[in-house]
Amino acid sequence: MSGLLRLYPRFWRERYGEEFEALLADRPPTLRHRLDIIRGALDARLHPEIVDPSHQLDRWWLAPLLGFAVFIVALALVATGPVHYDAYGSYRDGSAAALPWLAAMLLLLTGIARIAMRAPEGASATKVAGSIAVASGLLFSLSPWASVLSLTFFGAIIAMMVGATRAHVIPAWIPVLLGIALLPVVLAFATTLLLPWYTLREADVSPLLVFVPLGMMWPIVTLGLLVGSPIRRPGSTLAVV
Amino acid sequence: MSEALHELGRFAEPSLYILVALSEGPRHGYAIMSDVEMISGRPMGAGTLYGALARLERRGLIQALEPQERRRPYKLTAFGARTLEGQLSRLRSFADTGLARLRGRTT
Repeated sequence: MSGLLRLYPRFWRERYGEEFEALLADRPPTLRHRLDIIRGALDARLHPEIVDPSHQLDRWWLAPLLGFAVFIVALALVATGPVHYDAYGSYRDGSAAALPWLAAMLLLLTGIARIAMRAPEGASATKVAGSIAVASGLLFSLSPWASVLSLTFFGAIIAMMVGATRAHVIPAWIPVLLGIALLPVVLAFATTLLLPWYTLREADVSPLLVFVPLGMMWPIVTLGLLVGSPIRRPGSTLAVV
Repeated sequence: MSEALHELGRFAEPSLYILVALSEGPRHGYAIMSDVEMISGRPMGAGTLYGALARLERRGLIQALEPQERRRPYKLTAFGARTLEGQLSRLRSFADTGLARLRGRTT
């Protein structure tokens, strides 16, 4: 199968894939036409109802995308907060970022819940992992410094994503990408859990090491919703994708 | 542009070319692309072609026929032919008006 064809959702490939490949074989696409195909694949994912009316309109990917923008705002507020001095030295007051952080997390959890909901009814482990991810994520958003909560949250997201991959709800590269992104964050939180807090402080770990990979959760969940299979109405004659 | 084509957004113009390409008889994707290129002077990408074909088929303007080997021909439906005729008549009227005004322009 052509790599370009893989960009289209499965239900689209089932309907047009063969003739589309025959067309590409007859007329190999130029660079400009490759871009046109990528645009066409995005269109097919954004408007699945055009090919198969049994697909519900699904715009939930907008939630984590908006959450990513809010997360950036929260980071900017942390980075520009007033500097305070106390007996231990100086620190930057990032309390203004509390509400945007909470909003960003709620939008992320909405996206995570939506992926879990896309799993078929039989995929109960995926739905349980999704529920744990949402519950621990809510607690994590209120106390992001709690290592046990954060590790539970990250573990549950990965488990849910792996389950969603097995249920063909999202492609396999989504949990791989998420695992790679979260690895430094998990290591950082695990370090604080296993070692005395001052070890990390004296090691002067850059906040970027935590916040940049953590921030990747929003675009990855957005991608998962965007390229994954939308929920289908009952009675569809096409195979579950 | 007629309502059926107007609501196709960025696919409205490619759809019109496709309907014209199918007005002579059923054609498959490659033949449509070649004909559209001949009519418009611009090649049409496969992404645009199939985005427009899906929309035209969904609205009942064209109909997919049984595949011949791996290529599936499409044909214009009666509704598609009426829509195309109406649209071309409007374009002719528009072109006539524009040309008449150009000719009557004082230089």
